[in-house]
Amino acid sequence: MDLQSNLQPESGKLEQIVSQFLLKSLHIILDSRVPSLRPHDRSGDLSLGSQVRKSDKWFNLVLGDRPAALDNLNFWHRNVMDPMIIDVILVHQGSNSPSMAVGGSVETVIERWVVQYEYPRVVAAQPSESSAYYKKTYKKSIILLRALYSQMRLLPAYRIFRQLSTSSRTYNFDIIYKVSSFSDPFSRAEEGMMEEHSFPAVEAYPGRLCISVTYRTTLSDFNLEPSTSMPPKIITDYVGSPNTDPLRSLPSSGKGVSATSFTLRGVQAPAPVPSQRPHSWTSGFHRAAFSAQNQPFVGSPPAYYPSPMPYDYPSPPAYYPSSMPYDYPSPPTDIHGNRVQHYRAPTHQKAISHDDYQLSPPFSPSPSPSSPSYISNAYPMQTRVRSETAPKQKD
Amino acid sequence: MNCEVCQLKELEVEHFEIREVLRCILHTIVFHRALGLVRPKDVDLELFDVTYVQCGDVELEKKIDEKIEHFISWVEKHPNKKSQICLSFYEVKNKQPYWFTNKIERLYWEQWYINLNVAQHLKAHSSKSHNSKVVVDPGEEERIARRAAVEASLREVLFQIIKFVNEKKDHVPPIPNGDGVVYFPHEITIPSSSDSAFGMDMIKRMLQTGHPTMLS
Repeated sequence: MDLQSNLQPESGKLEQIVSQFLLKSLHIILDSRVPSLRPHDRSGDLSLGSQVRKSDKWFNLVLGDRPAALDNLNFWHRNVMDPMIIDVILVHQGSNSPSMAVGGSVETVIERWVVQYEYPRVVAAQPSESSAYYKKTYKKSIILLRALYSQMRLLPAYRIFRQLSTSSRTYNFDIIYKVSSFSDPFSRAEEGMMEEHSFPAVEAYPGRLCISVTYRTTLSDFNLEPSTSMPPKIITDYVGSPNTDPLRSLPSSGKGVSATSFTLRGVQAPAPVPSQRPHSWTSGFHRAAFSAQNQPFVGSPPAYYPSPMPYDYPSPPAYYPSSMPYDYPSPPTDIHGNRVQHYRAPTHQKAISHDDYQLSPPFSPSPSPSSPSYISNAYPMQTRVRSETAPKQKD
Repeated sequence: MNCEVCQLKELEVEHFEIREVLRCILHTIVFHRALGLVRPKDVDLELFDVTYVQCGDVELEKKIDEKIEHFISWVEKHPNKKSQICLSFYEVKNKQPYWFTNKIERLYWEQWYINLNVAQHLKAHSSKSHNSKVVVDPGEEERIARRAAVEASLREVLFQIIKFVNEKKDHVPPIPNGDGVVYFPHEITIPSSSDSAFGMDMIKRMLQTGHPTMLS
């Protein structure tokens, strides 16, 4: 019996579950970490106002409108086997620059999420009743995503996210993100400051759905404070205004786009270089540094993702969304466009004490090594995130 | 079907902390078990720097708050005791009407035990007396340290819940259909007025988690 042909009617279901799972995870993560993306109703009341879009009903977790950034996923995500690596990046002042000094802003990855459909090296026997099997897979994915949602509120980065998104004052830091199918491994020093946590995988024959995170256990070493004074208006041309706010001195950009969070470059789209990174995008800016990294894929974003999905759940049970409800939008011409800068009138400055988030997770402190048995040799182009498998190791 | 049991780490709380702590824990558990359509609602605790997630269902909130109030009254009558609150999920099975009447049986598939140790501090006394053995102001420091310890323990319990719901998924029944927020039938049991009755409840429940064919 041919494995493929047996899987055929179900492979559509699997692909839908996997791709929606990736989308949903991304939505959850960005929603909980990046304040610049459009906020949505967090009141929790389903009956409130807006109808729930079908696309939002996946995994029974209504999150509200998706940030436009999620639409990019359809283009860069070459195939569902690629890991989706989401870096939550803290943009902050360098540690050796006192607040009044001319300092560049520094970016530090404070969390790295990896969401992936892991394909096994050896495919196990097919489950006998695949329809019932995938229903179970779907149910288990629902639970996993709930856990992801809760967990995001318990990790250290959540607190600074809340500061940025709810407070009416401006801060000397910002949170941005980068999504990619590969990433540079952390340096040894960085790794020493991070912990890893993997959620138990959800079996989704022939592979499994996995989420893991490497996160900074404490953010207290960063000097994160409300800014002293910020002009309330939107600054489009910052180069020639040195007397407004010394905090905002930015590197004179020899690069096409300057990469700090204090500018509103996004308003006037800088010379876009959309094709430089077909398989990742980042919020707000491009930097020369990014393009220097090795890219296994070059060229314009391949539109591999089939549109529309030819598969559909046949008469779904009540808890299945019934179809692929959203259209694939045309490629965004400006990958930058997603960030909206916000300036708020500064209020009284209040000292913010950052507690030490020394999280010693009670969950398994020794994370399993990145499932080496699941790294398939069939996908040599995938660069693993974990440093032990990375080709280049910093110091 | 087996019944999975989770004993949550014991928390030492003060009387005024009970409400928030219980709300946080109960809602967190239910959020991971209400697998129908949900719009999550973030709730910040006031006493601790913790954010938990609710399902956003008003009815559920009321039900949980009621139980918490019962529990608090019980605690007031039984001070300085360790106590347990049990949140159980069950399936409803109709027994075949052979020679018994059509009896509805509950098949418990998961039980959570929230273990609390409610401390009764004699704060009121210490602040008034000036030459008692107890230090007048046990110290802001001590209070802060204690508060931080409770917060850390609470976080541990929440991590414990997340870990448990993820590690054990096979026993979760199929999601019931329905509009709005859909829950598995569940009940919250607090100790009743008499300790022995409480114990009996537990034993009875344990018997019910056996085979469906077992006649109780």
